Amino acid sequence: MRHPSQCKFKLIRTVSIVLFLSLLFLPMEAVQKKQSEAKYHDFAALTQTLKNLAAANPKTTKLESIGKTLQGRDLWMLRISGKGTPLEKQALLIAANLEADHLIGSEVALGIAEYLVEGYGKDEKVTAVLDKRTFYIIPRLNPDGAEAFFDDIRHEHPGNFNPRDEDYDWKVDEDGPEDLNGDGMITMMRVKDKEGDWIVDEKDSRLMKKKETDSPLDTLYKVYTEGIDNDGDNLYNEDGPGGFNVNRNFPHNFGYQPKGLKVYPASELETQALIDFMTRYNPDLKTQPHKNICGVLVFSKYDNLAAGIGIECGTPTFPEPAAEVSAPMGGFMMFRMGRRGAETTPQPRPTDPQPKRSETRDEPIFKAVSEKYKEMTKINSAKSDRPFGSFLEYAYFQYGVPAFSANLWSLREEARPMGRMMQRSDRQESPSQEQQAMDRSAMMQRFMSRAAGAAQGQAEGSEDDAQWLKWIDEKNNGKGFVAWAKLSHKQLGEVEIGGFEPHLKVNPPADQIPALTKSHAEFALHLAGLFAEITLDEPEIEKLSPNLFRLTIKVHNKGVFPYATAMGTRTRNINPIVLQLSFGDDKKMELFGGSKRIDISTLEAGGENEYKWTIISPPGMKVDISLWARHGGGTFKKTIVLK
Amino acid sequence: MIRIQDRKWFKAGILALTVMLGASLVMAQEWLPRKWNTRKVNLSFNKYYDWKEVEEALRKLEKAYPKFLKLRSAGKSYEGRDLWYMIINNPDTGDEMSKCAFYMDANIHGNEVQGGEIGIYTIWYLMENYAYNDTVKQLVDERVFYIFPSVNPDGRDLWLHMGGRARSGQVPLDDDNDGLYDEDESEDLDGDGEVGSMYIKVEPGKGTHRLNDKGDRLVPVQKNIEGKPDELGDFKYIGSEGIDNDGDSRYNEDGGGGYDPNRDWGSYWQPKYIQGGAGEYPFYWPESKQIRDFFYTHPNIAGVQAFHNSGGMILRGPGASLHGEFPRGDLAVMDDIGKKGEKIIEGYRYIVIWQDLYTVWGGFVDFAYDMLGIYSFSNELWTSRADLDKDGEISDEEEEFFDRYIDMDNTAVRMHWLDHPQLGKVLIDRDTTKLSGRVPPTWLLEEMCHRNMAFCLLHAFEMPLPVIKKVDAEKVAGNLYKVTVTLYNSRLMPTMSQAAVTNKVQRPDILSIDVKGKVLAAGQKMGTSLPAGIPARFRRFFRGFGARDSEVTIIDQKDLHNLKLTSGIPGNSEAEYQFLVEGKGQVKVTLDCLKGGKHTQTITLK
Repeated sequence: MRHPSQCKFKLIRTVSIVLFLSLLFLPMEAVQKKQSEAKYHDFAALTQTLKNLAAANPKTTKLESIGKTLQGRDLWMLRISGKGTPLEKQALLIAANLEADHLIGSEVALGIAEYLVEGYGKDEKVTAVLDKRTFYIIPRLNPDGAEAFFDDIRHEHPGNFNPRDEDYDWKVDEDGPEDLNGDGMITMMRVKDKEGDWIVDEKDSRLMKKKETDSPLDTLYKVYTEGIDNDGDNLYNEDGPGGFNVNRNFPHNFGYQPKGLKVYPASELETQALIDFMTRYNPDLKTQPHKNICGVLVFSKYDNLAAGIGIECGTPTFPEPAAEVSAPMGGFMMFRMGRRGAETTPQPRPTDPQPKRSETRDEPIFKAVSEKYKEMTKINSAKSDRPFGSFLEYAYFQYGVPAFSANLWSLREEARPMGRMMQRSDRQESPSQEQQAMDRSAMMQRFMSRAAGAAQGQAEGSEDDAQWLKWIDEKNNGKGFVAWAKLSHKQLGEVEIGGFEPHLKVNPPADQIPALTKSHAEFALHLAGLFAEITLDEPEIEKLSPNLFRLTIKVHNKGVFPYATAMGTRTRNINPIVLQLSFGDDKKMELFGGSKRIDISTLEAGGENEYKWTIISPPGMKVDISLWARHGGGTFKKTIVLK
Repeated sequence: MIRIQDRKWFKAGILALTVMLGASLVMAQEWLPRKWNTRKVNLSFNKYYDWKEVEEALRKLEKAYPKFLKLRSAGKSYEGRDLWYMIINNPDTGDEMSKCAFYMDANIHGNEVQGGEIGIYTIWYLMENYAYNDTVKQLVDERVFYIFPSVNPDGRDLWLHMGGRARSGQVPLDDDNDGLYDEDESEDLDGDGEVGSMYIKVEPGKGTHRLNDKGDRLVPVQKNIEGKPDELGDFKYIGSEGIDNDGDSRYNEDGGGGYDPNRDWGSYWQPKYIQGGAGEYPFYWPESKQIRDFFYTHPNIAGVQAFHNSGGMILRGPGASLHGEFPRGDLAVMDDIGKKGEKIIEGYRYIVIWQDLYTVWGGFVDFAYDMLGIYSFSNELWTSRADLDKDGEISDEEEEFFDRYIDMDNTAVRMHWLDHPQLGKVLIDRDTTKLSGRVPPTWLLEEMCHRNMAFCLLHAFEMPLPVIKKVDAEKVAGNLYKVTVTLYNSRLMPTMSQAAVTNKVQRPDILSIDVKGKVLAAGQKMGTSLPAGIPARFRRFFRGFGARDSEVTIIDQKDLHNLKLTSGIPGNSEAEYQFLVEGKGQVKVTLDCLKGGKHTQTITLK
């Protein structure tokens, strides 16, 4: 009973259990078993569950810590694999909970792990896939931040709580939010203020919306996150414990905003740990052991599965050109031009060299997977912003494998009519706003729009919020919104505190976890079965003359995915398929034209390539053939005799 | 009122400064007669040092000058070599953090070794001359130096011991995409410290090369020339010197490393399919990660120099084409130093990396400038001296003449045969040694060291040197006083570069006033502070600039006892701040600069 959050979810659970069971056509006993266990795991519980799972199934699993956070928590990775060498088989990487508050991802990833481990040897399909594939499951990449979900005072924030000076006053985390009304949650404060930018939404007095040009001054409000101004700078909660959102810290399409010391891609230990796991050379094994990852499934706030049109990156967020900083004084310009202007040839400013949307040739992959996803999970739409600096983008654009992300919980049809649904949000968080960070009013804007949960909705779209309220009222027994209530604030005078409960819009009630887990486990199993599978036909030898042979080898891709996405070929991160001959005796045998090694960089799904060699050799000589497709099913070796 | 434009004032200021700064030092220093040989540490600068020799030289220097020198390691390279650096600091003039520091590194590309010798030379030169040379003494007293002879010692040793390309660090990489890592490195089979080119003899007509008429080197065969029969080649190129270690009938296709440590820095970083040689994310390789941490723990660094080769260039950023030009104030500082550099280092051009050379994403100097706000240069060391007729072009004849009659053919490798374990008899073609082309011949090394050091010392001299020039108090009424603080930075660089301000990477300077009482208002007196880098001859254009009803601009900050000077103190300028103070007794004024240290003055209100 440590956490108020758990009380709430238990309440919700008991109420909805009956409703839930009657609605879903799932095997009753499975649901019942899971139902009683459905809960959100804090780090200790997660660790224990993973350890138990690994200890009970030593043959199929291996639990590894791929790194530690700043606060010393382990980043757990559970490897699950059936027969065969786990590092040689093609692997699906499942990563979740990169945003601290996206706990549902963590739960589903953990549930998939349990589903696979428990199903191995019992469920035919699970067994078949695990014998061919390896799963790497990283259920919680941001454990430091995720613990906030279980705090006595809950505050929704995506960061990892690493110390960070968010307001550039060279003090760290000096002004965080406070739970003023003692309800165990950080929500919002609104206060009447003639200089405010907000008014009460006339459609629903619980909601706030942006003021109109003709709004009377006495209806205006200022909106803050709940708390006091701890450092006396007239800004509220502008630099609390927060840190960096790990899912914006990856090197593709990284936002160098807001500026500051140590702002660069993969500045965070969690980001480094994940990329290191995927790419780092291991001197003991003499290889990059996890380069067998052929696909990535992320559970995060971004979604490209329900949308199904590949990956579209958010706004390029390069810093403004420094030259636009205004000159310290007028007149200076003249002096500069006289001195150097003539000798500098102006050059056109080049464009950002990073691709911003998935390659056209890869779109069929995304489309096919998306359709299957919708069919299997019944999640037909999801609301998602365009990502920047996300793991999804890294996995596809830089690592070069098919990558998919599901956000598991967002506004869907049941909450709003399909016609108004934004499958792919046209709105984007505007970095240009963030760029004005030092400007006071702009800074207020930024903090308000960034301030988690309730604030986010209010700043960005009260239409969405109306839908959430509808969901609360109709489906959640009215729970999830703290009604505005008056409170005396020692700095602002009389304020009202209220708003959406933290985590409400990010994580579903715990009773929904089992169903989400089951459908996504089945989907993950399906996804792992789609990888390219490179095979070799029996080589054909044709004797052209007693001392001349023609060798023909056909290479097939029997998988559903092509060998290497177009992006993977472009990044050269996917090893080519290497077809290599070696002769029994190099002195007696000679290749007529061509090369003994052929690198095949792409092979379409269902494709077949034929390679021919003409060999001058006395009969009876041996030729060793090896085919190596690291992302396509491993190594094949054959020896033939020319005769 | 004395104005900065007044040259007399300048002289007075410098005099006052010298007195203030070095009263105890300069005055107490006795004059030492300089004998013709005052050398304390014998080091020669006509040779290249491998990493063991570098360490020995540094230890020798540290032992001879223990007061000034501290040898430290910033961490380990991939193969376990220490990343040595020397701290030069005179403890009598304050601890490291109280002074601006100059950072010098070299050899980030393993084969670009000669910057390491500049580092050793600089330490040696500063120490050997400290007692006799006032310029050197002033530099050592005012500044701190961090000198890294090599930030890629693995590459340095590989190149010096074996040769070859060795640009990379030595974390294994699968260059040839066969799943094996660094499995086929070159070998120095003949033991001459070089990786040559291997040829085998084949039947005439089957080869691509033949012996030249003199019989001392191979030349490609000529074919399809009208009126001439095709030449018959009887030598075939196999590969660079070495063994086919992995039996794939290719030679030395996957040697040590295979990446570029100078594409591993966090500013405008790009992945390897856009920027060849990059890692998976910035600071992916162990050496650059440790150097980054060194910078984060040494915020006193105000000047950065990196050494590369070759081509004779003083390079400034941006290296990233997307960056856009530097802001004008910063440009003025860098241009001033860079243009002087062209005079100091003969034959070098001062140019911009992305514009005049090529785009570099994630380069070191961009990291230093963009992410730390430090003015940084990168020199491409050594440009050939074979332009004997000074026409700006080096012809083959000139090159040959230079090699034969000046360098005495000292860098030639004779054509020779060797026994190859896999190929039998192999011919190594005539070539030049690695000590040619990209590095100077050893007899020109010392001059290169000196001139490049001199450029660094100019850069180090121009780092900010802020002081509190004076504090005045003027009684306004009752207990109300006007306290005027004059700050002065006598050097070219501002205490905060515009990059540091814009990118918010440097804590602002803080002007604190400690008084029994209250500070009611504060302001900056305008008209006396000018942007950085305006040469004296232009200052007259700014005379009277900023004149208004009041010469003071109100500073609107919460804490007036600790003013944040958000853009620092400009170079070559004074800045005047005024406080309206209600109180009595002693007033202690403190200026706290991240780059320039803490300074205090007191005055009594009466």
